[in-house]
Parts: sequence; structure tokens; C-alpha cells
Amino acid sequence: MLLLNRKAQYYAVDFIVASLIILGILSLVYTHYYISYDQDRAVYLSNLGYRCLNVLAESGELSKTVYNEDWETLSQLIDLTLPSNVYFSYYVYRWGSESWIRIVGPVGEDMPDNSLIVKVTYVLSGNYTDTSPRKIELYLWE
Amino acid sequence: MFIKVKRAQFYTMAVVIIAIALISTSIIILGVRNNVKDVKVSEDIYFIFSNVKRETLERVELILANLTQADKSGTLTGYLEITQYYLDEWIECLRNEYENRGFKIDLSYNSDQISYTGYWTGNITASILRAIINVQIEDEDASIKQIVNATHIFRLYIGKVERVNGKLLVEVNFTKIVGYSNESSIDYATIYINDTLANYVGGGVYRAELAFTGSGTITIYVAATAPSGVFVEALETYSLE
Repeated sequence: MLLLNRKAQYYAVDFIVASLIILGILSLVYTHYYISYDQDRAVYLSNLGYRCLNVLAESGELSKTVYNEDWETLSQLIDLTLPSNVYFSYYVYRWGSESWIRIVGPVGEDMPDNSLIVKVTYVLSGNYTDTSPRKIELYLWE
Repeated sequence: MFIKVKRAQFYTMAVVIIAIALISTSIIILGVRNNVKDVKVSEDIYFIFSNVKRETLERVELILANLTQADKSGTLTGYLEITQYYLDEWIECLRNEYENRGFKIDLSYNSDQISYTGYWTGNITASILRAIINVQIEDEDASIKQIVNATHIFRLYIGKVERVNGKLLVEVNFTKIVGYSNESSIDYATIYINDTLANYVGGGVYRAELAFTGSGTITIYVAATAPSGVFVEALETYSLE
């Protein structure tokens, strides 16, 4: 009986150790999988964001719409530049000598609570009639 | 027999507990993941550098636009102070933006290397702001440094005046030159030649046909307004037989 009890204890310890190892490995696999998945998606989304802001800045449309405060056109241009399965929202700030002052936002879709969201920013240097810099923060998600 | 039943129960229990633990772990991991608004701030130093460089050049262009306007209206008092004011504001804004996000940013210029020239008489007119700006951005992984020649030149000249079929064909050239490399670009402008809107024909050339059937002298007056706000004017008098 004593021997059997001892054996049972061994089994119990065996079981606990094995469970811990399995759980540990599975947790690592899950975490690693989700981190790399998130990183891939984050890189993909941020590249889209960079490209979108770059294209609009190079064409002069970013500066034009931001300084004219034409948010409807800016939203349409961003929408045209991004793939249809990527959603966005943005904020625009004005430089107020020591800090950024929000002038609009959020504009676009409502940001979801359960999704990976990437933020990219672009700083505009001013235009002829308004030399105060502006900053656009673009949030992207799928 | 009794021992075997106990062992079988034990293994069954073990499998059930493992299954419950695995399911619980998955639910917890997914639950936590889905309930957190996961906003990642993307920090690509190369993108930031390209943004800073492009906008710094734009900044110099808008300074030139302001200097030109003030100069032409006769209110320009000190181009160096104005240029420094605009550059310093820009540098302060960038520092605030990027240093708060963990970057080291250094934008600097030597005021001895800043000069402004504008000349408005004759058929070639120009507005020039020379500036050299050091741009350096660093994060933990990379450092990018470049000395940017931010010199901007806006140049307008009357290229051709010809009589064609009883009309006067006038061509003007309006270009923007940036940097040492004479990197010339066309800055799309609104150009009036003797109050007639000129058409853009390519390569920085604008053309207008003026109604002029007589002879004698004619003064060609060109006014160009670029998107940045720079405007320059060219003037030439022609004798026509």
C-alpha cells in the first residue's frame, strides 16, 4: 500500500511537471506567434501609412488640404491611397510655439477597441500664408 | 483491479485537467489580446529623415516667398533675422516632436552661409535664398546625417517674342532651382503676359498670343505666381516694325 502511494505520488509529480512544461511551451508558441503576427501586420500597415503620407506630401496635396482645413478632401485622398480593407482615422495639430495644439480629430472611422492600430505621423513645414507647422497623425487598422 | 481503476481515473483526470488548462490559457491569451487597444507608434528613422529633409526645403521656399513679397513691396528690413526666425521656429518644432519620441535630432545652420538676393529689373528676374542646413537624426539602431544645400532660386525670363500671323507670340520660362546640383524643377505657376493668362506648354515654358497688329514699341510685362506664393516679374520693351 505504501509502495502504491509512493507510485501515485511519483505519477502526480510527473503529471504536474509535464503539465507545466506543456503549458509553458504552448504559452511561448502562442505568444511568439501573436507577437510575430502583430509585428508583420504593424510593419505592413505602417509602410502603407508612410507611403500614403509621402505620396500626398510629394504631390503637394497634403499641405494644401491641411492648410485649407479641407478635411473632406483629405479623407477622400487618404481613402484613395489606401487599400479598401484598411481603415483610418487622423488628427491634425498646429504648432503653438511650445507645443502642439489639436485643430481637428478624430476624422474618419471610429477606432476599434479590439484591433491592432498603427500610428504614423508627418510634420508639415508651413505654407506661404500660414508659416506655423502642422502635424498629421494617421491611425491605420484592418 | 482496484489499483488499475484508480490509475485509469487518475489518467482521465490528468487529461481533463490538461485540456481545461490549455483551453483556459488560450481564452486568457486571446481575451487579453482582444480587449486591449493595441496602438503601435511606427518609428521608421528613414521615413522621418526623408520627411524632415523635404519639409526643411519647403520651409526655405516659404521663407523665400515671404522675403520676395516683402522685398517687392519695399518692407523688407532684415532678411537674415527673418530667415533665422523661421528656421529656428521649425527646428524647435521638430526637436519637440522627435525628441519626445526618443530620437536625437540635430538641425543647425551657419548664419554666415545665409544670403538673399532679388533682382527685378530687366527681362530676367530672380529671387534667391542661399542656405546650408545640417540634418542629423539618430535612434538606437541608426544615425543619418546629411548637409543639405537648401538654396532656392526662382527665375523668370522672357524667352521669345515673335510676330506670327498678325499676333504677338510671347514665351516665358519660369523655373525653380534647388541646391548645388542645379536640380531644376518646374514650379507650376499662374503667369500673365500683358494681362493675358499664358498657357503652360511644358519644360517650364509658358506661352501667350497677344493681339498686336501695329508697329512701334511694346512693353512685355510678365507676372508669375507660384503655389508657394513667390511671385516674380519680368519686363522687356521691344521695337516692332
